[in-house]
Amino acid sequence: MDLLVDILPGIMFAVLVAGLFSNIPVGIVLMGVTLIFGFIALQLGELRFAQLTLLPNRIYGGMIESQVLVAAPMFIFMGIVMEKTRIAEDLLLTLQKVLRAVPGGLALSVVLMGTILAAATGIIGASVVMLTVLAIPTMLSKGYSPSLAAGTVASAGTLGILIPPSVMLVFMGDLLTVNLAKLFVAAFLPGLFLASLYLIYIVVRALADPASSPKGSKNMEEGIWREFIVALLTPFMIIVAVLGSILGGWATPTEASGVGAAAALLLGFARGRLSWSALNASMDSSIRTIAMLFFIFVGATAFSYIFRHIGGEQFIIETAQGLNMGDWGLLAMMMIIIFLMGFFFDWIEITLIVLPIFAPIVQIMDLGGHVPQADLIYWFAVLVALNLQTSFLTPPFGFALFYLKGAAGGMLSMQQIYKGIIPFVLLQIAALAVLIWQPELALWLPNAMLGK
Amino acid sequence: MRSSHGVFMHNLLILARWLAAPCHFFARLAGLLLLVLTAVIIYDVVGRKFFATGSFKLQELEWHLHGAIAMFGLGYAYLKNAHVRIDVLAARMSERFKLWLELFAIVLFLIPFMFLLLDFGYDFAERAFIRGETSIGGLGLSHRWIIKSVVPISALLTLLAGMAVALRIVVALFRPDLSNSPFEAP
Repeated sequence: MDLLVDILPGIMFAVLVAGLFSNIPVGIVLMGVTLIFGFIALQLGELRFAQLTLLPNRIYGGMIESQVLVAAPMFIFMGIVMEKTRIAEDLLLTLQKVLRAVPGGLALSVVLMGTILAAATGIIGASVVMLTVLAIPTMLSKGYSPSLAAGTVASAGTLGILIPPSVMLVFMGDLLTVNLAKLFVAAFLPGLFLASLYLIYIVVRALADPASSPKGSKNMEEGIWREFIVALLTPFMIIVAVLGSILGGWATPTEASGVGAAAALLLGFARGRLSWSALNASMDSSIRTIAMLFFIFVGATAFSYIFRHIGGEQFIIETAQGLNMGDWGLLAMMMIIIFLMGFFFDWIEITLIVLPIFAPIVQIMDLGGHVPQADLIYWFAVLVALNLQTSFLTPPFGFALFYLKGAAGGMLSMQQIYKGIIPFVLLQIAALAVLIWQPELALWLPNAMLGK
Repeated sequence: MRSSHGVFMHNLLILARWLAAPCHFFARLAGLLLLVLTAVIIYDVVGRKFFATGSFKLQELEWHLHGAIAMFGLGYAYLKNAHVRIDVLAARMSERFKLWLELFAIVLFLIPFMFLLLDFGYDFAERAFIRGETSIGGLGLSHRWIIKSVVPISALLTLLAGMAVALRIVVALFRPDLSNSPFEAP
């Protein structure tokens, strides 16, 4: 019986992982596992009924009474308004026109769009599908190599989880109880670094192999500069204002998210795109996305509440220490687990379920001066984000690739997608290596801008 | 016999529509609250930066609105089949098997969980009402029971949505000619 109590958390986690593959909604699986193991814990005397009745307090305290989490629905709303008022689409089309005479111009515009509209592209599936529909037909008709087009769209579509204001970082900041503004700033340079690696690769590839990305005509249409200012500069300024106010430390992410949403609405309105039906569609689509996130959050909150009560935290720490791998070994193990989970699960499940389980290990980790102890958690969070993004792109399972294939239909073969993504995966690995080797890539800017 | 069976199934669909109605209403409300929250944040930011007004009350109002937005759509999203599933193995399951599995998951997991959350959540909100809970230090908003009611209300809505989907699954299993999908059109 004692043995059962000792390994119960392990069994609970194993049942969860098995249950997730049942095609039942993730939130319901979490609720089911919570009920089953809550009942077992009651029978074993590991949990009292009175403790079970505190569940609403956890949900209220963890998901509702939080000034930081307010940014999540607002950033989602901002992104969806930009999509439904076709601000995002215009941005891409204008970038393509402006850059068409530059080597690899169409591919560059996809990456720039992914970088600028990172917030609008916070949900991987949605953003990869949107970029595929908008960019792939044009690139192919202009004679771009299908594999280059595929690699560009998949990697640009996943940039949104890393580059702030990323919704994933909002949840990470909340779950790891760190300063969200600082986490945003910490993710900023690694995100830009990665985006520049993409840009450099595309230009070099275009110069070395011009057939893969033919240049367009140099002649600019009339009125292109007016279009450039309207379609490109305005959304760009919104994002700069939102990010700048956070980076500059004079607005909290919550304030910035509200300003961003208001600016997106205003811009849509000013361009005559915010019809009643577009506004309705934006609200409806936002509520579905937000509910999808918070449904899993409710389940994950209940799951980790029971998991902790049956000694889950201690189980994880003891198991980790029992492995005798040292702190670097543990870090490597966590990263590998997250990487493998990224093949099957979106960041939503991984952040909400796995991060709370790993958090106690990170808290006791000491990398002996390589990373300052106070900043370790920020570096870890950025590392997780970059790692996850890599996982989503890695063949054969990376699921950004499946969304790409699904949206592209007959335009791209799976083989072309796999072939095209490999150079980008190598760039991802290079960025990960740099971030591990030089933690300052993430930590310098926040400490310089926001102080220690 | 056959036709009374059909009437029964038809009535299940009507019942499902009634159960779903409150979910639609609250999701619509949550959508409108997105606009209200945007306006409140702008008012707060402008006031704080330029007129040195901004207040603790406004910040509390912000997360109150966030709480309602985050929770009121849970049931609605299920009606629209917007909740995430890991579907890597789904291709190997027959449609009928998937429907049965979903039905079991609703009856054994979703409904009992939401029932407990409703029950505990009602006590939770009622306690706040009886004690007259307000914000700590009294600087923020009073009447904490209002926002705490979001927990039981959302649990009830999700419970209703679960029942509506379950009824539609039953119809889809036994009278696929009346309705072949348990979820509403997107």
